Amino acid sequence: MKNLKLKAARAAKDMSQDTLAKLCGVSRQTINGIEKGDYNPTIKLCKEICKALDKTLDELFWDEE
Amino acid sequence: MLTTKRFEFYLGMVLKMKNSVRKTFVTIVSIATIIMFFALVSFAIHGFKDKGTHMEYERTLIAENGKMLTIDWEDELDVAFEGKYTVSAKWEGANPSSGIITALSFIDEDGNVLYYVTGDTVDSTSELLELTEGKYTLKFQCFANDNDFHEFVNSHENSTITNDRGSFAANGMSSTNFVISVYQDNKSVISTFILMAGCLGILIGTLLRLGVLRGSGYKSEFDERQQAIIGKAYRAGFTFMAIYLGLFAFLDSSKIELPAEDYIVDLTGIMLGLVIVATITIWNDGYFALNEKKKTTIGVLIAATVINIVTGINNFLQGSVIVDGKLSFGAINFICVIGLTYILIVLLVKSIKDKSEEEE
Repeated sequence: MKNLKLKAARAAKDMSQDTLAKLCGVSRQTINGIEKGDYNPTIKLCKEICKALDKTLDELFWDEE
Repeated sequence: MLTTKRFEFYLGMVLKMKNSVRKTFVTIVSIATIIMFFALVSFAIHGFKDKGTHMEYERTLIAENGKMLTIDWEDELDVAFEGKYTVSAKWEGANPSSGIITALSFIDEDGNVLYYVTGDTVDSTSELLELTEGKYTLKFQCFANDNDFHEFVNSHENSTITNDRGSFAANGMSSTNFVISVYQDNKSVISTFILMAGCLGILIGTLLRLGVLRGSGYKSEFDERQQAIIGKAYRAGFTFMAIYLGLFAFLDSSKIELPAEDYIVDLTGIMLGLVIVATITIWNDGYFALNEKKKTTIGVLIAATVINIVTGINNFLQGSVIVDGKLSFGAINFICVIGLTYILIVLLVKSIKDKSEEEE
């Protein structure tokens, strides 16, 4: 399932996938994979992404049905 | 040169590595070193031990009134090690021809003729002969007339020849030097050499990958997704190689002849395994480390391809690519070229795909 919340939060910060990837210490393709729902990140990476985007885990990764 | 200071620097780097990385590093280096040690010992035993015999005979062959005055002669050969051997025979008759034909027969203890060759001038090597330990006979027979020659050939072949050669001289003389070599096939040495080269390659590859040879604290970094992809790729490559080697072992035990020497089949399996690992990692963006210079790596791959093409062409011109209808030692470079070219093509296709996706 696509992670549109992450994509939106990144766009709101006017940040490219590449910039976010560098801030989190991962490859651009990994960020792309998370946004497209192709890759499930570990909690460690989720926290890194949240820190980089000033968001909480709930805001970016909690799945509200 | 590896100075003491540099050694201390490298040692320091190994000690500073993360526990998991250091364990991997030490394990790979240890395994490669142990294999190289045993390969070296094996090379010393098999490679340098003389398992062949070289014999020379000086004979003056004399024919008078169509009869040989020179008496046939034979010699005994002790084969100490079971294995595959080649028998080479070389002699040069008188010029102009004396009209005398000499035949050499290589005979086992049961009297079976394993190889024979005839001619007034000969330069010939047998196919690989499976010899067991024991005594073998080298029998030389000379002919100065068609009847004796027909009798010899008909007793060695399942056919009957009656055509006269028409080139026997009733009287003739030839001082001939007969050179016979019986040597064990050296394929085990080649296999050992390939094994050593492979281990050395793994060792250098590991050191490069871990950054030990790049100095200044370089360490390859893969993110968690890449590490998972690499693990998946290694598993696929390993599974493929296990199935491939199992299949090869089955074919080998079924005595099915493949159009390639055993070590070429082994190397092809290794190359296919590497290609599978490379394809999966490239296609899932796990091939290049985060801090790796892609252009440098691609440059190294292109250089390796070019070197293998040049060496391969040289091997082809020297006739070592196909020997006795089988892909042989010289084909190794072409296998490397195919593998490396394939990896470069996958890299190219992947980069085109990425660019088109970025544009979208």
